[in-house]
Amino acid sequence: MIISTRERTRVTIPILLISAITWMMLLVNPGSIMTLAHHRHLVTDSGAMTHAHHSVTDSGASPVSFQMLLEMNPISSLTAGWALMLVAMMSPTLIRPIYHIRERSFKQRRARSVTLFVLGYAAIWMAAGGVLITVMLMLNLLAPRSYLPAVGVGIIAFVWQCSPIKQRCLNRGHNHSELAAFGIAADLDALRFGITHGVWCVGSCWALMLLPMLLLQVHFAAMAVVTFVMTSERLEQPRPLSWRLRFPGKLMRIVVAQTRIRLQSLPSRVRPSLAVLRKLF
Amino acid sequence: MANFTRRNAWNNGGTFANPNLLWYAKGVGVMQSHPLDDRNSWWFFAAIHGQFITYEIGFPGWGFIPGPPQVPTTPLPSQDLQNLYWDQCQHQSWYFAPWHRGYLMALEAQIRAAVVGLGGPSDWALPYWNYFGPNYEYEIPPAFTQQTLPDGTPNPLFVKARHGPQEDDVIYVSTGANANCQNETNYNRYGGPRTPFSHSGETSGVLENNPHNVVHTDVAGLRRLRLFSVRSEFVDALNAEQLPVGLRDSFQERGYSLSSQARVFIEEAPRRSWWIFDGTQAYNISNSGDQRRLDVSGLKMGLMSDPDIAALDPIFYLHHCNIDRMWAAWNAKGNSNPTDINWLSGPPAGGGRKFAMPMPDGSDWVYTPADVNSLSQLDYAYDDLTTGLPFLPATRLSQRLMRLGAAPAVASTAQGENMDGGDNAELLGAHDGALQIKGSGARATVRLDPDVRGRVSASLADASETNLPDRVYLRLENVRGTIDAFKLNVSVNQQNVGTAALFGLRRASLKDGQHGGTGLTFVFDITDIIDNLFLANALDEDSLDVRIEPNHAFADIAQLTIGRVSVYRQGQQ
Repeated sequence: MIISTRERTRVTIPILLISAITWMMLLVNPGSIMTLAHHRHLVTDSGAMTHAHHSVTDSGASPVSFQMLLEMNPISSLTAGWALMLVAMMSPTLIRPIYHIRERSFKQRRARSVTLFVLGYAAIWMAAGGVLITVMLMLNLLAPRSYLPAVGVGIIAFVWQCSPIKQRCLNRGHNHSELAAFGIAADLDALRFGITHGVWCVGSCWALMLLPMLLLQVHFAAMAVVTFVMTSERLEQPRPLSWRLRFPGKLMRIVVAQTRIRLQSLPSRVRPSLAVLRKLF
Repeated sequence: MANFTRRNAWNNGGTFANPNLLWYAKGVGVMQSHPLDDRNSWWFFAAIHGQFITYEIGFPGWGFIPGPPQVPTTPLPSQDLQNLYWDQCQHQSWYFAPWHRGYLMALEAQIRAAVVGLGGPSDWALPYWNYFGPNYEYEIPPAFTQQTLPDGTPNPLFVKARHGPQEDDVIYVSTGANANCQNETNYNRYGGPRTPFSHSGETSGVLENNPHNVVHTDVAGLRRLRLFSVRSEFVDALNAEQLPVGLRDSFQERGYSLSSQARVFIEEAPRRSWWIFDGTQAYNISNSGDQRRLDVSGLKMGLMSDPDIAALDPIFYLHHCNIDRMWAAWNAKGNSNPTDINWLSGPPAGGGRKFAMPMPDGSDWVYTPADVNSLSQLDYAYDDLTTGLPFLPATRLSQRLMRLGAAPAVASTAQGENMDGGDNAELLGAHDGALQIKGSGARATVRLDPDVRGRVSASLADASETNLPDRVYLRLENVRGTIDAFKLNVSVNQQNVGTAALFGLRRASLKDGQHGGTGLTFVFDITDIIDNLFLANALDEDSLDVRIEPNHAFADIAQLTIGRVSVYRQGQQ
């Protein structure tokens, strides 16, 4: 049995499109939905907020100041922003498991099973988001307008990246196990797959996801870098558990190799004009 | 014109009267005389395929392999060399055939250099073992079972850890192996599915599944030696002196007495099988299911059973030479290899490792499938491309169409059949729930979905040369276990559909292995069975009866499980 190229495309293209559209939404920020992404800008850059900000910081990290911070950054906006971040950053990493579900499900159940998988996966990440957003807000209170929290989280993320626990989480994310085909068992398996995949995904990426939330001026650039790292390390194959520096070069290697292949397959009359480009690769 | 011709190892009776085998033995001896960290050594080359050198618990760790050969575990080469060369073999992948072709070419060059250094022929070429040949050629050539060479020196081709399909150290290829794969016309089904670099994958092509895997398992085999049994109430009374020394030491090293460990085992892990390796012997401790008896057995597996030790056995290369010959024969009949640039360029096209081999002149040979795509571009040939099976794919499709009441197909239709897999691969039915493979086997009732079954029926009813009928496949998904040296015979509605040899199972089941412990998936073409049901107006049955029987009654010890048994239809349009 062979899975056709068309079926692969059918999964890959929509997911990449969804990710791209969400990235656009984050960048354009319609209706200031991205309070999460910009709340520190609001606090620090807006004159209207300066007073409130000072009130918060002057009172220290108290329940009152935390309440004020929440008033400036409503839960609904934080949640929506977090959800958009997830869709933009995580959806490319779901191509393989969604492909697995579609392959293992009856055609008429594919959409339903994929939906259940995504719900399970998203539930785990939204729960994790509650914790991470709280941590972010607390760090904002403790050290406003400081890069120290970002540096601290960066160090933690680096250590986590090198740890065998991180490797274990990455390895488990490759386990695409059996799925029931019929009835409620199929639904439960799809949901369970989403939940377990989400757990390993959170275990792998929580520190990386926290980092862009703490970076002020380079929020989107940090998001892009983290997306690149996460996507790249998912493409790597499982490895033995150990402490090691992990260089997320797989995605870059794929891009370089595929670019080179496409340049080579261009008509010969075009190729000479691209000689300079080829040298770059 | 090729400079080197690969010939049948069974020439001159497969003995050392065949100069190809004699020089092969001497060349292997030279390579075995080099240390592990020498790029030109036998051990280094075996590690290129796969290695288990630093595994310190026991067999199949290299330090625990009973000799001969005496397998070294030191000195290790630099990490850079290991990263470049070791653990490269491609399995369950469309790179299976081209990677092994390059691997054989490099090994052949090494042996040839050694042969020439010994004053042998400069046109020496690797022999192949055509186990589908006439007479006794299904048996291992006798040169591999002799303990000494004609001059009385130890025979480097002799390996102790070969046990054969019947647990009696008689080495031959069983009737479960066949060349039916040669009837496949699509490369992805023949050579393996599209994958990135795949040192361990999930689903094999038919060439790899059978005969490749079956021959590995047959040659390796395993032997089980029952050491003793004891009822649980007597476990505490076991005297340590009653135990084999290795088993006793193994317990003591872990801080256990047999009685304490056995009691924990019996009370807390019912139906569990527990392994101990003492350096030369694998011990299995299991309860009998009624939790009242402890069975202690020893198990010996052959080198060819596991990809991480298989290439230590000199017969490995003759087996793969035959696999390479079958691929060449498949091409010679007009079947095409992929033209996809991602196949031609090899794993680096997907950001993966490159294929690299050390050559005897000290250079590195980095190659891609495009470099070994056809024998016509290489420097060797086979004296014979007969594979022991009539190869008539066009006739096969024509016969199928005629049976279904349609006009026969022309050859071009048969050759072009389903090159991209069609657009309609979909699940037709499944048995939900994992199956545990006991020594007595397992049985699954595969429920068919009525809508999909209707589409299959419609496809068969409307079959024509321009509307090719569906093909149907049985899949054993997520097969996991701890020992590779077993085979599963599979039947559907009491009709045999093939053999799944579990070569690579242990590695595919490791949670930190290349696929996160997903296990192996085996695919069998059951189109003929479905056709027959259709023609007998019996395709409206809502289930298929699938039986899976292991080749050894003590398969329980391998903890074999099948995650799901499923059936798929594949549209051909």
